[in-house]
Amino acid sequence: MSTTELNEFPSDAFRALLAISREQREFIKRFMECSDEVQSVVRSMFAVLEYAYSTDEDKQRAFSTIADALFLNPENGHGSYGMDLTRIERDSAMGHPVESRRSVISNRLDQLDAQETSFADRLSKLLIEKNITQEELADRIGCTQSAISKMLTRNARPRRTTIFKLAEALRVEPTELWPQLEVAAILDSVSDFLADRELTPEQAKSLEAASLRPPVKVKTRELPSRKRN
Amino acid sequence: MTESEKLTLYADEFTPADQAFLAGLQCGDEAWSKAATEWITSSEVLDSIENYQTKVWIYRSADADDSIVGFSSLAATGWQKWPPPDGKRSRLLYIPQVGLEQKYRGFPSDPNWRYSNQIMEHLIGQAKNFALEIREGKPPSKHVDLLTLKVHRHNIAAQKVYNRFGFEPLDGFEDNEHLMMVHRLDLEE
Repeated sequence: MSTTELNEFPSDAFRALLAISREQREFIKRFMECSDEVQSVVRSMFAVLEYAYSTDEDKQRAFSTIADALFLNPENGHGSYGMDLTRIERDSAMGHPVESRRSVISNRLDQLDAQETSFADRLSKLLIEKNITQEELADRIGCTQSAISKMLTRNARPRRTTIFKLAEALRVEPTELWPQLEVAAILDSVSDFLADRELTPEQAKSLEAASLRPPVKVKTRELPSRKRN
Repeated sequence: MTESEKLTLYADEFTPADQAFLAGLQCGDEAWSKAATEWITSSEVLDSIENYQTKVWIYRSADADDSIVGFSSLAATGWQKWPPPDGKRSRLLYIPQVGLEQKYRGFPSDPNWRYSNQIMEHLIGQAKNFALEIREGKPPSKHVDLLTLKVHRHNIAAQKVYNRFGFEPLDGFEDNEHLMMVHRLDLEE
């Protein structure tokens, strides 16, 4: 930065920097160390967290992505970098505007916690069985030993792509590491179809052909409703 | 209660309060059945209703125990645009999930009362009503008469059921796990 540029640096921005905690500075430092590409991903994930219409599932994925990108939540408990993602998730669930949804989200988080435990146990067992060190595994999937350690101590929730990489590196089926992976993929695939999309030429042609088929005559039936009675 | 009254299912529109009664529902052990159970018992169903106005029905048996037999759902997809970027925009009717409690598979044995058939017949009837609602007062270009669903590649039993209800494969929409199927609704009856 040149002296001229330094003069243009807004003093309120500098004051804001001085006012933040050591943990927050550490968080920013980690962010600044990332490549432009990763920074862009983190920025867009924060936008998802702040967006009023983001679903809980979207927010959860955004949290996981940020944690993954910045290697938050180190081994010695949450919060060393001033961002306790687990707590934020819980707060987000408990602060949901619709009361009836809070317990559903909370149950879902419990379920995810249980899945993480089971994943960490399976990964740990496979490393012992196959006599592979954390460093070796990290080398094979292109991450740091610290990232592997975080997964083993349940301080980082692995992304689906990471599970695939780990499975390939350990020569096991991805579901051996995360049995619910297939279920999650099915749910994603089913809900993704509801979003707006541009069709491929093949899809457009296929729909056109379907709309020219004769209508199907099948039996339909009305069923009584107990709620209406 | 007559035999037919005993066998006829009740179809109630789902509300979040129903989730308390769905806690014991088990659609089966296959990945697609687990996904169906997960969908209706987690926030997935609530998100689908909130984000896509998905209609969901819970089916209960008329027996005294009032047990939950299954559920179905229906939504309209987002805009499917072709050709990009300014092509015609159209929508499809879509069944996000259908589930049947494992213990009721193939039950009762009479196909006329079989629960899976009752659910499908009710769902297709609802899809027709929905398509007619959408077309009301709109030009033919805005009409929707294609009902679609995704079915797991390995779920052969479901593919056969859907086939029996006039669903045929829809090319170009497959993914790693799923095939897409389509049924052209008969709206002229």
